[in-house]
Amino acid sequence: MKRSKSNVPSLQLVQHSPRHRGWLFGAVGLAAAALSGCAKNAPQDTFDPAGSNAQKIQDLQVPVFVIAGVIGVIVLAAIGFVVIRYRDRGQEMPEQSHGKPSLEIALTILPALILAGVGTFTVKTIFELAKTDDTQCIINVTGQQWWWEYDYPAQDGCGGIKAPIVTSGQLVIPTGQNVLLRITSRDVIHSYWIPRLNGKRDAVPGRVQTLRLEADQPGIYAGQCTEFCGLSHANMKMEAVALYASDFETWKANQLEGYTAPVDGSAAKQGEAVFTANCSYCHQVNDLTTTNAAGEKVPVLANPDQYIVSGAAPNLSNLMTRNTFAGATWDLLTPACRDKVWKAVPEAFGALYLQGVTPECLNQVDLREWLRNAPAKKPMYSSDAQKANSGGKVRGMPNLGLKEDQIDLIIAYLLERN
Amino acid sequence: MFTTGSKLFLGATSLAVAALVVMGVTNAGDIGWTATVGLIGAVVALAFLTGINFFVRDGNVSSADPANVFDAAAAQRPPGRSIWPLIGAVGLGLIVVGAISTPVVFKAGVVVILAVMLEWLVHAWSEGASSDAAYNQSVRQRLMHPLEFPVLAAVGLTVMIYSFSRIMLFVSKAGSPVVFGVLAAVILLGGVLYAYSPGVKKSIAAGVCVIAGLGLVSTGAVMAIDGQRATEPHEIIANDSSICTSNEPTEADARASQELAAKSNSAAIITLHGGKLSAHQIAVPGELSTITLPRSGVSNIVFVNDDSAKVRLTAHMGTFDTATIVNGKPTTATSITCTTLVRQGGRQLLTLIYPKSSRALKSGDAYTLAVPGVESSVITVVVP
Repeated sequence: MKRSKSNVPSLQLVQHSPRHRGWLFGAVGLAAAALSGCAKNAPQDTFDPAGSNAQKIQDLQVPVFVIAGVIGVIVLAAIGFVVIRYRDRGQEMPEQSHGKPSLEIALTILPALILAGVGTFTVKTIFELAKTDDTQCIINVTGQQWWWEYDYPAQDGCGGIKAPIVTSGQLVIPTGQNVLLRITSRDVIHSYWIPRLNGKRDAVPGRVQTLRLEADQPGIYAGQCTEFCGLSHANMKMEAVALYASDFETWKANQLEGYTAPVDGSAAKQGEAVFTANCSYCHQVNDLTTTNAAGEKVPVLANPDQYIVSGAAPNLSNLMTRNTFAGATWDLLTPACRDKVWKAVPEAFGALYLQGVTPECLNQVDLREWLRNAPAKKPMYSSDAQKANSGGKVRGMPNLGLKEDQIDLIIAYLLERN
Repeated sequence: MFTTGSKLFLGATSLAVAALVVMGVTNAGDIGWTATVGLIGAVVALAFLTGINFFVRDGNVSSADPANVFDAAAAQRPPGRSIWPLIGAVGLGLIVVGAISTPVVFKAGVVVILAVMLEWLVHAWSEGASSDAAYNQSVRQRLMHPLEFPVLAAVGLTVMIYSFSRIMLFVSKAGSPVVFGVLAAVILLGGVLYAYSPGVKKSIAAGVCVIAGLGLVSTGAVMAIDGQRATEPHEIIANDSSICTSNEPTEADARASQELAAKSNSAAIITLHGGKLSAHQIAVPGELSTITLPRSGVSNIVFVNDDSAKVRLTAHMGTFDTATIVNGKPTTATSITCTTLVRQGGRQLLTLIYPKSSRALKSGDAYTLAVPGVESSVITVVVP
C-alpha cells in the first residue's frame, strides 16, 4: 500500500540528514567545551589570579588569547569562505599564477610584527617573574614521590625565623610578601604549580630552581604536581595557605614550640609508644624520646633513608596544624569543617586555619583507611615484591598491618601533634 | 656414437683388461698380486674416464648453438677491478703493527679485515649474479649501500668531531672560542660565496672541501700527538676519605660528574678569598656562613679558589655510630669527602648527599665545609 503524503512532515521533524547531524554534534561539542570553562568551583583556575605574579601572567595571556582568537577566527572564516565559494562545481580550471610578491611580503611581515609584539611582552614578563632581588621570605621546597616537603631555613626574612621549620603538604606563606621558593627533588623530576599564584617550575634532582609566590589575600590556593612522576602522580597535590603577617607569626611560633608529651595513662600516651614502634622509623616527631636498654632517655630519630627510595618521609611534629595528609591528597578536616575554612572571609580565615584539626573536625574516615592500608588508598610502590625491585626500599608508605586498637591509639597521639 | 676422447680411454681400458688377464694367468706370488691390484685400479679408473668423456661428449660445445657462445665461460666478462685486496692488505698491516705496538691499532685492523671480508664476499657474489655487469653492480649497491652509507657517515663524523676536539683541547681555554668563532665565520662566508656564485664548478667546491677535510684531520692528528692543554685532574677514587687530608691532586668524590649541567643551578657556591670562606646560594642574599641543604637529596656544591695556594674543599659529613660494638658501646665513624686540589682561579664540583638531618648529629658535631689549612673559616651546613 502506498504511504500517504500526510505522514511525511511529521517524520521530517525527527529525521536529519548526515550534514545536519554533523552540525548538531559540532554545536553540542562546542557548547560543552565553552561551558566547561564556566565551572564555579575551580580552585586551580589559571584565569583567576590571586597574587601579583599570577596577575602578570594573566596580563600577558589574556591579550595574547584575544589576538590569537581574532586571528584564528579570521583564518577559519577565510578558509571556510574559500572552501565554499570556490568548491569544485565542474567549472573550468582558473588561471594559475605563481605567487604574488606584495601579498607574500605582507603575509610575512604581519605575523612577524604580531609575534615580535607578543615576544616583547612575553620576555618582559619572564624577566619580571625571574626576579629574586626583592625577596622577603625564602622557603626550600623538595619534591619526592608523592608529596612535597617545605623547610623554612633560619633567616631574617619571613618576619624572622630563628630555627628551621619543616612541614609538608601545605605551604604556609605570609600575605603581601614576595616569597621565593627554592625548588629541588629527591628522586625524580616533579613540577610545582599553584595556578592562582604563579606558573610552574620543575623540581629537578641536584638542581635548585626558584619560583616567586605572592598572595594578596588570606586563603588556601590549590596546586598539583604537573610533571608525571610515577604511580601516584595524580595524587601528588599541594596547597599554599596564605595568612596575614600576624597570623603567620602565630603559625611560626606554633611550629617552633617544643614537644609536648601526652599525659601519662592517656590513650595518646599509649599511642606514643605505638607510634614509636611502628611509625618513627620513617616519620620524625621532633624531640620525641624513648628509653633505651640502659634506661637512658634517647631521642627517637627517623631513618627514612634506610627504608624509602627518596630517603624522606613527612615530619609529623605538627601534623594537626595542617588540613591535609598523604601528600595533600586527603583532608584532615571533615567536609563541613573544611568548607568553613575554605569559604571563610579573609578576616576570619587566619583564626579558623590556626585552630588546626580539632577532635570534632578530624576526618577519621580517610585517616583510618590510610593507617589501615595506605597502598590500598593511594597507589604506591611499597609491597614486598615491589620493594625487592627497588633495592629493598619502598616508594611511598607500606601497609604496616596495624590493628584497629593500634590505629585508635595512633590517632589519639597524632591529635595532640598540633 | 663414441667421441674421440672416449675411444682413447676405451682402448686404454681394453689394454688394461688384457694386461690384467695376461698377468693373472702367467704370474703368481706377492709381486703378481700387487700388479694385479694395480691393473684392476687402472681398469676402473680408465673405465670411469671413458664413461665421463662419453657422457659429456668430450666437453665440446656446438659453435652453431648461440647460447653456447654467450654462456660459455670464455665469453664471460672477466672479474672487475676490486679495491678490497688493497684495503685488506692495509688491515693486515694494521694487525701486524698493532700486535707489536698499540691494541687499538690491532683492533682497528681486525675491524678493517672483517669489513673487507664482508665487502669482498658480496662483491664476488654480485659479479656472478648474472651476465649483466650493470645489473650485478646494482644488486651489490642495493644490498650494501644501506649499510655502507651510515657506517661511512658515522666514521667520517667521528673523525671530524675527534679532530675538532683535539684542536679545541690543544688551543687555550680562552683562545678556543676565538679560533672556532673565526672558523665558523669562514665556513659561513664560504657557503654564502658559493651560494651566490652559481658559476663555480662543483669540482672546485669539492676540491676545497677535500682539502679542508684533510687539513682538519691532519691538524687534529698533529695536535692529538702534541697533547692537550693542562687541565685539572679528575681521577675518581670513591670512599677514600684519606685523600682529603693529603696533598695529592686527586679527587675523592665519586659522584662529582664534572658536567656543566651539575654546575648550573647548584645548591651553593663556596668561595675561598683572602683566606676566608664564604657561601652563596641561589636567591639567598649576601655572603653566608651557614647554608641549608636538603636531606637525602643531591646537592651540588661549586668550590671556587681565589687564593694563590692549591687547596681543596672538604666536607665533614658527620660522625655516626656503626654496627660494631666494642665494650658494650658502638664504635663511631666519621665520613668526609672533598674536591681535588684546586689551583688559583679554578672551580671544582662537590656532590653531597646528607642522609640524616642535623638533628641526628651527636652533641657538638656539625656538618661543615672547610679548607684544610684555613681552619678559622668554616661553612656550617644545616640539614633540616
